[in-house]
Amino acid sequence: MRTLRMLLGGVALLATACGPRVVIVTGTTLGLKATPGDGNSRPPQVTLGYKRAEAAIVPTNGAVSMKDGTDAFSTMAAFDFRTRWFGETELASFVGTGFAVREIQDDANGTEFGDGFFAASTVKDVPAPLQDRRKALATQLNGMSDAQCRQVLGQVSRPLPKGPTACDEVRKTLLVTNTDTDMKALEDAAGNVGH
Amino acid sequence: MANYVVKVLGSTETLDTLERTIRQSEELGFVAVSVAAGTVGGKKGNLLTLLIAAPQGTVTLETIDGSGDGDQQSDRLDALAGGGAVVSYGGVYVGGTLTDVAMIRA
Repeated sequence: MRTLRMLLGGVALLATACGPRVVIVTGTTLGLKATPGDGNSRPPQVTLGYKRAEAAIVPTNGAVSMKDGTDAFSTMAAFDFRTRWFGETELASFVGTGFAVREIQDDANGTEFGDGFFAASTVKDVPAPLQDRRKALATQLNGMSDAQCRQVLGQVSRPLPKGPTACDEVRKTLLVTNTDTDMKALEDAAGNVGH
Repeated sequence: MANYVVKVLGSTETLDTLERTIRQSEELGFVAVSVAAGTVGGKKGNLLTLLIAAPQGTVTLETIDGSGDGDQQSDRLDALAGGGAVVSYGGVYVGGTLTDVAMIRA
């Protein structure tokens, strides 16, 4: 039986020798023994022995974890032991990879995905006074030349486009402007451009 | 040449806030062409795709009961659109929960 297991393990290793893969190995040894207290006849005993080990090699078919959101395949191994023989005792371990872990953590946060897994918003609901100022500048942009918009971008330290799309870039900047400070900088820049 | 802009909407916002944010964006000289849950920078989020152009009509967001079959959802979309047009329909995070949302332009 042991030989068969080793053989199967070897085959698995060979099968996944090339390319990215997820490897997960865990092991647990738990011992528990109670000593008798009265010393008369045969005392009550509590004995528990437990040993386990597991390994998984998961070929990912090239789907390695990337920053663009692609995640490696999920693996999970959990161990949990609780007893009240000697008071409240609990041993727990958890090993996981991939989206399985993310979703478990999300569940703990009470939403399908926890806040930490959501991308930060780039366009936001803004107060009406700020929106009025944004709209005024958007209207002003309609009458500005590409050269003037380039001056605006330069003054607010935004990269200049290669083509004649500077006013589009200012408009995109306006779209993500949601603080009074940033708005004032944009307004000042637009007010300072030459005619 | 079309000039598309993709931005991230808040994923834990209410439907009203999402709708107001899209309307505010359009008031700056953009047309919303879709809103849908997606991935950006490796994280989940609501992706708002805009086109630099003058908008025509006002957009509203409506949730659709996902328990119905395709025909039932079609009927629901028809009823919501009325004389307007369905701009996009799909999953959107509302209050952190993925919800079927239609964007309709009156």
